[in-house]
Amino acid sequence: MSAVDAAAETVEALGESGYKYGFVTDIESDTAPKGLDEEIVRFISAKKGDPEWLLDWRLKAYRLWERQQDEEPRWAKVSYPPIDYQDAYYYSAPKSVDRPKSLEEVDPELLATYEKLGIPLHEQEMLAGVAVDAVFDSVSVATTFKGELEKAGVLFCSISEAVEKYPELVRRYLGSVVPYSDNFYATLNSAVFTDGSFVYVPEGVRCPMELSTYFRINAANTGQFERTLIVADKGSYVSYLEGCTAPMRDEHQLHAAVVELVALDDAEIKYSTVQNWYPGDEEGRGGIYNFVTKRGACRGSRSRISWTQVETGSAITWKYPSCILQGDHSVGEFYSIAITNNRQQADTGTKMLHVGRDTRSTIVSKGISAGRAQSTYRGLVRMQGKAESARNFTQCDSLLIGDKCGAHTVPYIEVRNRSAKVEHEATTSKISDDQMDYCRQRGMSAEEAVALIVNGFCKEVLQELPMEFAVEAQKLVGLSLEGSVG
Amino acid sequence: MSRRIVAEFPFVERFDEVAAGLPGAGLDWLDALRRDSLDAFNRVALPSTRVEAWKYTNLKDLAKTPFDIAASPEGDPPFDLDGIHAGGSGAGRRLVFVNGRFDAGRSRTGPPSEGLAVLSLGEALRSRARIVRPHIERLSSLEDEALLALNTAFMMDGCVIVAGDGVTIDLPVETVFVNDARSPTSVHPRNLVVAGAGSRIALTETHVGAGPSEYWSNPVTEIVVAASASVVHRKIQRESRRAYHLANTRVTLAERGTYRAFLMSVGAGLSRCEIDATLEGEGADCRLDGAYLARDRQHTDITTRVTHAGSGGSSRQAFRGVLDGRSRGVFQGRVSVRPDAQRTDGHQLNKTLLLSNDAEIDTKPELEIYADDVKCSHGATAGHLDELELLYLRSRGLGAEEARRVLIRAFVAEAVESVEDGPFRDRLDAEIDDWLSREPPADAEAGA
Repeated sequence: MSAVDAAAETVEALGESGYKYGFVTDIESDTAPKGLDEEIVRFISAKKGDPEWLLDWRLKAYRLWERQQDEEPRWAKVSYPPIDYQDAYYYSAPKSVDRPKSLEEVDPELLATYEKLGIPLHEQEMLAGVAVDAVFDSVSVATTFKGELEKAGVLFCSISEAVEKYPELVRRYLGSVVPYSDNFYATLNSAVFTDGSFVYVPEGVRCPMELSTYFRINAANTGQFERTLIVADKGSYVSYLEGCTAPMRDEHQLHAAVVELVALDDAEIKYSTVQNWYPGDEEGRGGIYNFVTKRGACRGSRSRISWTQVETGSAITWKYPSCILQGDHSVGEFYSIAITNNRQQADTGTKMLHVGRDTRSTIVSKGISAGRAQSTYRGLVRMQGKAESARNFTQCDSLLIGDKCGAHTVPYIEVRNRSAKVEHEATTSKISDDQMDYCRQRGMSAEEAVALIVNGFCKEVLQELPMEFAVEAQKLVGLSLEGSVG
Repeated sequence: MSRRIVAEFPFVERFDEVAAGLPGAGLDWLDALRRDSLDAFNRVALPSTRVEAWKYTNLKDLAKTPFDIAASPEGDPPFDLDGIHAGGSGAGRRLVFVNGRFDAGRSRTGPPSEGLAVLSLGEALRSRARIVRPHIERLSSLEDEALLALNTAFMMDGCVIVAGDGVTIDLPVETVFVNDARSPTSVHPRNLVVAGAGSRIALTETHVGAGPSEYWSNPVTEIVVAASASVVHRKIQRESRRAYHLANTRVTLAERGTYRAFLMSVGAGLSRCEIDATLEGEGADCRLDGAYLARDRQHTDITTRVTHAGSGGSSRQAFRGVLDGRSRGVFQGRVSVRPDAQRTDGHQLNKTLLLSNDAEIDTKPELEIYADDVKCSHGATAGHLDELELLYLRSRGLGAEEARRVLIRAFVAEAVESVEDGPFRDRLDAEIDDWLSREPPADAEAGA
């Protein structure tokens, strides 16, 4: 069997295997009426108990968004029917509005959902190193390891809690990296965001554990508008893990999150994502629309922000985790694996904006397309006039499995400083018959061979993931392409 | 901001009057085509920077200039035409166009030869309309291409080469486009090259300009490469600094056809050379190379689109640029592979040297791939002269300026090396030397 046939069969098998995480938990939601207008924004704001400045900010965003109705981004290489923003719910919270103080107070049905997802909180409390701020729909319901984090002085809570407890910090940094006017989806998010995580690591503190949030989308027709803000003060370090799965459903769901990272002098933030939302069925029906704005600002000298992502889910991914390298000698990194199968579409990449001198950035992107999927790397590297001796290295590789898919590379490189040095390389190829034959001769099945080759192709990115994620991600890479053949 | 720039050019407003004096006036099909193209231009209008393909090149200054159609030259243009000749032999066929008009006196169309026609478009429309018409009509039907539509509406004279099956031209056909602008004027040369099956053609295209005024050159060159035919196409763009040069080259290749292009862009205040090549037949081969040199406030844009439609095709592109002063370089290169174009090999490389902190390069290489059995890649680099290499040369006794020139020379030479034709390569070398000799001293430029 040729490599193509084997791979095609593998891909087919995946379709049959269905989505492992497809189920809906029945919990009565406290839901705002359908549609979006100023009243809904006020409703959400009131529900969250916002201070006045935040309500004003939301309203400013909403009014801008309302004026921008014709400016929904169209430049990405993705296609989907027009979204009716009035035909969605913008707020739904689990019924128990009072925050549970311990796991015992958490709705048992919620806990059961986590069990199905393979995130038993009880076990995780005992497992070393991972604190989970689990987001079920839009309100944080359980946070663990708070005690230990508090001892280190690390603030880790839901953004609503942060607005309440640390209003000065939130007010100083919220919207400072992604302003409410940034883009259509970020503007929408700014108006209606409900929850997300907040992290503040004080000066000189190395966060004692990897922080982690598991997202779930539930409640039919509810978009998710998470807002995450991570601030690493001078000389601090934090590693943040974000992982997602979602239940199966029929209608498309819009997810427009915003993530903002701020690294001050000598601080380092490592942000890792494994995204495995429901991609839709073989025809692409019912998958998640993932229109996310993620950006980090290296504000301080010698600061460092590193994005690592493994994107295997969603019907459509529109996502460009970026770094603004303002501080001299700051470093930005982007390591990405994007796997698309069936009818999935992904338009993803990064922006590296070099502002300060001696700034460095590295981009390694691996795109894998199978079935009838379309995968695009879109990225910008800009060396501004004052970015003396700045450096960038970019490597974008695409792998095609089957002759019905597409892989595209659209880099933008803008250099305005002669001492800056930019190198960009991109390749597109398929799994060669030689590679397949070699593996098959050594007794591997076609599926094992594809998994091995694809994992090898992605190695440079996988090795950037923290231990906790690396194992899961490797399995996911296999699962996304292998299914349960044989 | 709109996606379109609406401009009111006097020559466009005076279409009826102007068209009556253009080549082929009175031919019904052409009159109708010109009118349709004018409507298309008025409908589409010039692209603004909101249009993705024009993101880095802004036509707003061009749109503000009251261009009229170029007038017949007054007296001899201030050029030593012998100095511009490619090949150095002076023996090959040569077509000279001054302000968009064929200059028979300075041209040599050569002796008639079997299976080969080298003539001006005006003459071709009179004597060979049957051959010329389908090509002109096909290219003109492209939607949304404002500059192409404008060229068709106002197409002036140009070079037509029609080679029959198996015909070989020994010496390259030289075409020279001279612009001598006394007031803001535009020229719209239209060239057509049809290479029959198995034929071998070479042509060079030189654009030069002078005169006290701004002018706008909007040439379109259509090249049709039949099965197993080979076309070598070389171009030097050395317009006056007051010029806008917006050129379109459209190439189609049938099975096993080959197209080799070399483009050197050194002139014009704002230039954009677009090359669009479609490899329609199986096993076609396309190679685009070039160099761009810019300084002061020059804006140089090279945009290529290579589309692999047939299987087993191969394309290679290598461009090198040197930018000094406040100049801006743009390189946009797209390689597309259509679903059935299996076994495609497509590679592209763009390297840029920035000599000044005020210069800017915007590069957008692009791969768009819908077939799986492909090997495609692109690479892009931007950077300054290597300090160590400079030091090496300095330590061997070269002055700072000389060392710098040696390195710039070596950088550009790598692009020029691919040119097989010795005399033309000499001409490119001369262009580079000329450019370097006009370089301001390194110290003065650095401001230190």
